Amino acid sequence: MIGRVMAKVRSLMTRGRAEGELDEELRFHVEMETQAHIRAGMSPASARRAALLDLGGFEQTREAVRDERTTIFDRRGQDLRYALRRMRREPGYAAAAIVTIGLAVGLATTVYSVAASVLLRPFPYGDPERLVTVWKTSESIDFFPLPVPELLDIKNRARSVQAIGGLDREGFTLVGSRTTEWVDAFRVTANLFDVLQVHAVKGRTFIPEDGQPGREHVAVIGEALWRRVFGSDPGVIGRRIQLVAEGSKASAPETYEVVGIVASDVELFYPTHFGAELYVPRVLSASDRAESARSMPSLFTFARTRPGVRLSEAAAEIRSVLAASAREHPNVSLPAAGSRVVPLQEELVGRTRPAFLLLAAAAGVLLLIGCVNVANLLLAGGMRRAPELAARLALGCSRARLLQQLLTEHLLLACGGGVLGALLAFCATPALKRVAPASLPRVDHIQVDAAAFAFALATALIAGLVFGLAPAVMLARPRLAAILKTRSGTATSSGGRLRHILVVAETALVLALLASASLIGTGVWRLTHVPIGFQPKGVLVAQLKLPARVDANEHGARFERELLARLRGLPDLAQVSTTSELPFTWGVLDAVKVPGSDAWHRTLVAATDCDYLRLLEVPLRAGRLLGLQDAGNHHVVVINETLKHLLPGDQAIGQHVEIDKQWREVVGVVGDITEVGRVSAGVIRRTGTSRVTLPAAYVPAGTYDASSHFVVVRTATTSASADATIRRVARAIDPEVTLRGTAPLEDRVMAAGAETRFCALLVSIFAVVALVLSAVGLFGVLAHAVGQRTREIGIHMALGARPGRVRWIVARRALGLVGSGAVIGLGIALASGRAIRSFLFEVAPADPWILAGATALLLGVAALATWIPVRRAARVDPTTALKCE
Amino acid sequence: MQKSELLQGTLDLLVLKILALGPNHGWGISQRIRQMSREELSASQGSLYPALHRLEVKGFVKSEMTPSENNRRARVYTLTAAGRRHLEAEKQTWDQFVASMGRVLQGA
Repeated sequence: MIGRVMAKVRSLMTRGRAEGELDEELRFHVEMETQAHIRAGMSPASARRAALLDLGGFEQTREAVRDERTTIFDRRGQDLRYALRRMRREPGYAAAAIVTIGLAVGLATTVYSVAASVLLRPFPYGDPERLVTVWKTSESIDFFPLPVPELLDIKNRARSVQAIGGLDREGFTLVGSRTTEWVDAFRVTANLFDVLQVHAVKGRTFIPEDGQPGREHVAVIGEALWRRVFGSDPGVIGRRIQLVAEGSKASAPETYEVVGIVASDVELFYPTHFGAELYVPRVLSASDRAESARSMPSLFTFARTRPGVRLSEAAAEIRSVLAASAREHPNVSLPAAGSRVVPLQEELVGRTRPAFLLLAAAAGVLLLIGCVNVANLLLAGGMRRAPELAARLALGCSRARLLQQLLTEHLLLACGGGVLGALLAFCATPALKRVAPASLPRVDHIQVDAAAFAFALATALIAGLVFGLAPAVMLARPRLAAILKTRSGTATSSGGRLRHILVVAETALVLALLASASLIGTGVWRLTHVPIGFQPKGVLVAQLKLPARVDANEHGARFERELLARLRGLPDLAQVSTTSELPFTWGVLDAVKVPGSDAWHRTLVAATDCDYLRLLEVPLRAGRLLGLQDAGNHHVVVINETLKHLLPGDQAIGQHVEIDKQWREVVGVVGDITEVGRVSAGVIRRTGTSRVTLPAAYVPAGTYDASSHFVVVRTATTSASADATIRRVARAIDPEVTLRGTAPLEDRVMAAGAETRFCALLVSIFAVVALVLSAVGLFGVLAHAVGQRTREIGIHMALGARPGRVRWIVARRALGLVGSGAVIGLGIALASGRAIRSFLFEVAPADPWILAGATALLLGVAALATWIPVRRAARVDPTTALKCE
Repeated sequence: MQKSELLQGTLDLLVLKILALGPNHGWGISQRIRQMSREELSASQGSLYPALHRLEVKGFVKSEMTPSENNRRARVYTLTAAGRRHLEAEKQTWDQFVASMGRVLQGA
């Protein structure tokens, strides 16, 4: 065996020498044979002739020997050279195939990668499939936290639960020597990091001792806070920091020791999607464990099930434990409370799954269109070559050899497409990352998904090979003669029929994609053009975080007045004001009563400074806005038109509404503010794509118990400089006051529906590329058909057909193909409309105008693709066409 | 192709058999074939050289350019150990084939 390999290697290495030696060997043979003949009595000339004859020809023998010496490597080389020669001879064909594969593979990979990075967030937890969240539910709210005693009941009784922990939201003011920072935080049970299997980047997470009363003054910080406030100082572990808890009435900060840093993507789940940058232990005190605590919802709960236990079994056990404890403690349990156990993965991904599926489906369809196109192109190429292949088969080339060669050729095309696709994916993915809205979660994690690329490439490769080899396989021997005879035949062969089916399929897919993209795109256009009723441009907002001792009604209002008075004098802030509620921001609704009815109306109540509505340019409809004279007046209110319509009679001014047990006189009516979001359980949430116009009431600051304080400024300066200015002024009044998230109001408006917009962008890219690909495909088929029917067209023209008639012959075929494709495509679009409904903002899934528009666009592009072949057909010169046979 | 395969195998076997008697060059081998088969196989001279090179690629023979009579260089082929084993195996197969063919023909 080794000897054979060595001989092969030797023969490969010494081929050049072997050629010369072979000549010498054969010459020697001929000479010896000639001499033998001469000795037998022949003349020298005829002796040499006989010798050559016996050998069967010098050149032929040399060729035969060379054949024996040709190795598999030589044949590959030959195939490769042949393939390259063909690509040079038909550059358009090769380029079309490579570009099609490249576009399809590259774009499908890019969009899938982006979708996967953004929507399928990888979990920073160990074994996430064994984690569940546990909620209490009532009739209207399904995300109550769990009372501590019930958490302990699960811990003690549920055998399928290995560990259970919880967290509660907290806010801290981090008091430094130079700055004060607001920090969103979580109080977590000391075991929570272990339950989730989250490890520290530096230092440690919490240990059980940290949960003991008196030992809880330790903190774990997130990487982002570490960078922002501590300047990535590695010596931060062990440092003592001063924290004032949001609700704490104590004026002195408490000291905490930093024990560890965790990665910032440890986004512990919270139903309102608050993140945290700092974690402190939640001590389970005696009062937490007391019987009365059973009626106190307190911890968002995470449980890790034992290995091997099915999640459904664990969930059932947890629910039955909770039901049992509710039965055992009927007097102290939450009234009418049920429970809900949800796998954590579902909780985190559930919301974004539709978007991911949509994009993955679109990527799949694009890939399919690309493959259909390549198949079409290769079939056309194969049919053009059928006579050549048939001739070679007839001349004795083996079928295996022919297949091998075609394989090489198409592998080369596929590799070219693959390289182009990879280039595209690696350039386009970072580009998309740049245009992606910053509000999109995990934008910085976007990267090319290697598995997706491999899958897309493999699909394109298989399609290329199958349809590239098809012509050779179809050349069954009995039909050879027929193919050789027809040359550029006139009839439609079975290959032609297959190509027509492919064009129809392609047209259908493209129209379906185009229709979906148009529907979603129209929705997005409407979403961004909702008349919101105020002017967010040039407005910056910041949340004021007041220490508990100033946060009470009157005190808070006094601080705000003081702050505004100082800010008003500054040159770079044109207008300043304060409010307790902002549009496009998470907020809680209140209940308001109107005269003559006992019904409560869910209303947004905002405690504002008198300039607020003027600053936002909300139009006044009747009466007046709040003024300086209203400061501290509990008996005035400005309402919006929606609330006005709830009042009896036409005249709102002078009527009264009851807000927070206080009847207030309506002094003015203003225009509505419309938001995009959704309202659930009395809470406005930003995530959602419905138009929300709520009844609203604006009362003077300090006359209503406000849950938040926002500073609103209209300015030409940047967020950073305004942030610094406001901070400086606020600190001068009270050093413990901080700002949270100074940003343009417009960002909040844009953030609503950001995901939908991004999906729309990606789907639109798909649709455009698909449209181009389909145009290329249609053009290819028609151009090929015209080429094939040149003779037929020539006869038509020789018999007196006008160019118009000839054009019609070609156009008719295009019309048939595109028409049937469009009909099927519309069917698919109508069927898939239901699936994309959640992405449609105020657009009906079967909107006839949009579907008609998409169809018209497709037909227009198809007409363009048809035009060149049609014109070429009309220009066929009958004489040449008939002679060319 | 199938027609020539039997012939090819036979020729390979003949060449190996001749080389088993001692190293020889192409012309010498062709002369020996002619003698051994009493001139009947002379027509296959043209396929001798491809056969020799095929056997070399397979590693059954090795060759060397050596000076020969009248001052010319000739390629001289030698049987390798692998070639000798192959010849033995092939001879057995051949004998079996001949024997079974004989039985079939006698039966007919």
